[in-house]
Amino acid sequence: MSNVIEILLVQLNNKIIGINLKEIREVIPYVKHFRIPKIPQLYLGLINVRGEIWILVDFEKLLFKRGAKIDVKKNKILITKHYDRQISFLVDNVEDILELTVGEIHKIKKEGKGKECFIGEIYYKKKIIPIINLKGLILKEIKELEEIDFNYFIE
Amino acid sequence: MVEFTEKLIKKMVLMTMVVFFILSFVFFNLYLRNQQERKNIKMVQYSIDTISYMFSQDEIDQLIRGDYDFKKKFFLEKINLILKRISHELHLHEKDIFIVRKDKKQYLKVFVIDRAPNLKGMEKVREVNKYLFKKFKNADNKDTEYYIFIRKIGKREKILFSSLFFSIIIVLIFLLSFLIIKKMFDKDIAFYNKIEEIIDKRDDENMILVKEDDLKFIVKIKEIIAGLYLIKKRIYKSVYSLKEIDKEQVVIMLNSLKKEILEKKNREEEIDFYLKKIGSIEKENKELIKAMEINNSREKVEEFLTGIKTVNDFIQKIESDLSLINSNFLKTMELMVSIEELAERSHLLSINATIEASSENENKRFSIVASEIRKLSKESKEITNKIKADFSYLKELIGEKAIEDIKNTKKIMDELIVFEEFFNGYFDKQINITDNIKANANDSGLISKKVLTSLNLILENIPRQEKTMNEIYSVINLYIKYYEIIKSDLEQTKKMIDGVLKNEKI
Repeated sequence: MSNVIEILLVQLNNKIIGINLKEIREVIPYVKHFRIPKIPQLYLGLINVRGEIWILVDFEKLLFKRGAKIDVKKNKILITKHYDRQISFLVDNVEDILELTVGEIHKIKKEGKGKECFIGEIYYKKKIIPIINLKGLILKEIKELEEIDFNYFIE
Repeated sequence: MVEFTEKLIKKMVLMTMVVFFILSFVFFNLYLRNQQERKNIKMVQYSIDTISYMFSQDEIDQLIRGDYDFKKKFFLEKINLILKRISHELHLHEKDIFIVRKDKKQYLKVFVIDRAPNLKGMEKVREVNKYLFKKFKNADNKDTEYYIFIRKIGKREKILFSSLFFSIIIVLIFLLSFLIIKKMFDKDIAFYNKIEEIIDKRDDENMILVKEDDLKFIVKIKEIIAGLYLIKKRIYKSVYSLKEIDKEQVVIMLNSLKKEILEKKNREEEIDFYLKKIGSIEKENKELIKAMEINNSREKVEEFLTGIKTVNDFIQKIESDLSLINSNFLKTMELMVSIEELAERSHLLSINATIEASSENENKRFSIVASEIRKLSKESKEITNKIKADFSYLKELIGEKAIEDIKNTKKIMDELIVFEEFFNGYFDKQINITDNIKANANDSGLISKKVLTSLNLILENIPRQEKTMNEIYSVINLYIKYYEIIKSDLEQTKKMIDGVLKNEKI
């Protein structure tokens, strides 16, 4: 069982992205967020989940440099497991969970800046889907993230 | 007179002979000289070696470059030495050779040796040089540096003799041609001389000499005059008869003919007009006959209207049913949305359950339960999506659009029912009119057909008549033209004959 890796498929800007399930604590439907003045544009604001305060990150803005259009019924929030930084991500929708072996995850073929933000890529329904390293993204500074062209890696 | 002209001709011929002789002599002299000169030109090439025999290397270089000072001492002596050598080789006298230096650019390297007394400046030399240069160009002598051209001229006496000989021949030809022409004209001159003699003899009244030939000639002339008298009489008669025909009368006749043709044309137009009228009447009759047939169709129209009424009732029922279905649809759609929400929630729940199960602390059994829930939620989501798609298709089929269509058809049906009264009134009127017309239509149709056939016959004949009339008119016009021409000609001949007869009397 230790060889099996579970991956959560997430819909973003009509594209599908994979995330390791072990990096996620919970998936919740959209909760109203509160805006805070003078914070970077990547952060939408704060949310309250059962008494805990979490920072909400605009995932679409981060990857595709485009602000998300919030749909209250469809949108979901991913709450991460990295407790030292209480960060959550806004996504369009959650597709499915895939159970894969280690061999099924391939290394990323493309070379360039920001390659370390991806664990690898998989083939799903005749498409190449990149798997994002959430921990790597969280630990990086905002300026560094802004310089990376994620569109180059995501088909 | 004749003597004078003969003398003048003789002088003229002499003058022309002399001029011909001089011109031909000059021409042949020049031509032959030119020819001979060209024939006798010889080209001899000398390489540098022969000239270096006399000149030093520096001097040769100077000559090639064109810097050589020809006024230098001993230059002429050296040249003379070369000339001697050449004259010795060519068996020529020293005085027959002359040296000329040519233009700096083109002919610097060329020496032209000519016979001294015949040279008239540089022009002649240039001509010769050009001629030679052409030859020189064609030859393969690129390696040699110096060329000396030598020109020999033949003896002048030969040219003089030959030119004299040719000019004399030309003069002789001219003389011969003159003599031939003179012989040709001699006959005419003799004839004119005879005439002059006869005139001189007639001047004397006593001296009248009439030969047999002359008598015959006079008899013939008298016969001709008698014939002319006869012609005169006949012409007088014809002129008189032509005068009797009055031109104006003919013109009046023609005009009347023209008028008749025009009237016939006008009649044709009238007939056309009437024919069209008859055509229109026939059409009306046909329409009326059709109207009579309408009476039979009344029953069919009534049947159609009753059918429309039943259809209208049926449509009303469908409308009420559709509105009921539509309200039910809306309710079910609301339910569908709530089902979809539930499916979405269960999907999220399944995902969260799998997240929980994947954590290391949890029991493995729970992970199995979580995966089963996930499968269930997936299936429910798929089923709800299918139901939604089917419902939306059904809504399109039996939705608001269908109700609107039925409403529109209902409106059309109502309008058709309103037409019923109108149809009834129309049919009643038509029946009365058709009964009256039916009797008349048959008679008028027969009459119009008869009239049409007779009129068509008339129309067929009219263009033929017009053609014949036109032909007659053109022929008469031609006659008038000929009449005028003959008249003028006769008057002219009349005058001529009068003149002739007067002369005869004289």
